[in-house]
Amino acid sequence: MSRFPVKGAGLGLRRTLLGPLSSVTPDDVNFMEVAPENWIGVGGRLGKQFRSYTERFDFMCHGLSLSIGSPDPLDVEFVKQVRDFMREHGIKGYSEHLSYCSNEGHMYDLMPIPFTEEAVKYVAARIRQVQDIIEQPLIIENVSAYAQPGKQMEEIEFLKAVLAEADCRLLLDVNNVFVNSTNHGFDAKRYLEQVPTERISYIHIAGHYDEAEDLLVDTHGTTVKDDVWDLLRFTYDNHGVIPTLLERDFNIPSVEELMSEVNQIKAIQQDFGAQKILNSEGLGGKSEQRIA
Amino acid sequence: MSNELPDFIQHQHAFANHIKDPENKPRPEDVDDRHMAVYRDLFFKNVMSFLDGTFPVLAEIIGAHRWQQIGRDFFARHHNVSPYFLEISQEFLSYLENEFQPLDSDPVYIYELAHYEWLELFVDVEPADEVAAFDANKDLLAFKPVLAPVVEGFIYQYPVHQISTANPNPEAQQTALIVYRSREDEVGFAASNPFTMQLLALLKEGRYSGHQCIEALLEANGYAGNEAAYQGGVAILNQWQSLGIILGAAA
Repeated sequence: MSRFPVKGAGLGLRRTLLGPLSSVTPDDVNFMEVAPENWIGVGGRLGKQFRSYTERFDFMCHGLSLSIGSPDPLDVEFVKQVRDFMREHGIKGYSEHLSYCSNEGHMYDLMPIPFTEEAVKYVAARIRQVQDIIEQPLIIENVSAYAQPGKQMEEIEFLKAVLAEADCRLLLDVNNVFVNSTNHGFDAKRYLEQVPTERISYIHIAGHYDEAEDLLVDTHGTTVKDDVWDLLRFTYDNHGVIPTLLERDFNIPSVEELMSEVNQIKAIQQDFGAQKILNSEGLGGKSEQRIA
Repeated sequence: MSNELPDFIQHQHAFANHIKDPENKPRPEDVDDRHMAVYRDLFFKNVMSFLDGTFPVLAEIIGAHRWQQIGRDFFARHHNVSPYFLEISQEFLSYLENEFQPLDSDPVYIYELAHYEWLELFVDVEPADEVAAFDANKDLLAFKPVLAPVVEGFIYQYPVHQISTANPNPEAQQTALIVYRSREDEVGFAASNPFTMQLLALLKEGRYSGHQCIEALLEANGYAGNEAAYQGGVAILNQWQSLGIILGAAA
């Protein structure tokens, strides 16, 4: 069985896209993703429309409120609701941010966990608790950040330590690596090279906003920047071709424009797929040995 | 006490508390103001976008300045228990009920208006139980009426459905409203009164015929045997069917 829960090129499904995407097929968009927090307990016309999508497309859950690194207790009831929602809709996997969004109550956006050894242990124990409930590996995502409070180790070291300690999987957000490399002054390629290939379940790609030369904000409100497309190619080159999803949350353009970016993912995947075949047949290339 | 907490959790408390309440909680020492500002703005704008979307009438009536102030106080003080974004509006209602301290200049109906605006969202997305099989032509009096997928009735002390910037200071007046979602998933509102609200409660039990419901209502209010009152009840059932609050009678 593939180590990937989904295939090809995907697109995040937002409420405002329910109408515009109605004629898109699984050949156009190979998989979709939703925030379970926006759909659990939603009935009526929205619930019906959503059901028509989960019946047609492969889906991932990409959560926002798990708050895996929070000082607040883990919301076990909520995790069970996510599990039941995934079963109800046949969803292929559950990814969440390696961050926290609550402190004495929910705050509904993501904050950076201090990169410390103690935090690694704390977060990993909570990830294992979630995995016991959902009865499958949790897929954690590297998050964008604008500050690194309480930092005692590098982000990539923290990420690798959590993955190993929790024995969980990774949603590699290439845009977030780029944003953080600018905001915190590290080399994005050196970071990507250190990501453990066998733990990657899928990839995110998105646009960001240039607040200043040294401060990028991960808005998901623009097209993907060339630098980030380059990093996607670099990632495939290092880790093999991996299912990749486009996130777009604000200033959502026409379906044609969204599809041109989804198609760009596909084109890059095909380039590297062809290269992989060449390598395996002719040269015994490095991407072949990385296919699990 | 806080000294016993792990170092990283102390950092988290400081970071989060400053985002919630920047005026009263100091910025974390190891984060400069320019970067902290990104977080302060993202979080507050995010919460306000949910409040703006659910409570547009209230926001407009009390004005941008006061609305921001209330939003800021909500974010700083209220302990949000729900992980669901659509329930931020319920958290806000809970704040208005328990923690909000009105100014003399605030309208007295703030909570009621907010509740009414929230109800529209709630009825729109509330998951409905499967509607029982029904026949739209069957006699509502002889059989059990079947209600629309979602029907809620509330009694307010102000005519909340008439409040707008053109009518910001209505007189207090008991106002019963029924909010429902039709079979076509459209949200509708209907004016009601305390008597018809009792009738709705009886119908929602789903155990009685239309005739039994009206009889029980008349009896409970001292009108047993009153033919005119009975015909009034029949008229209400028919009106509710024409609105789509009642779909028909159980098949």
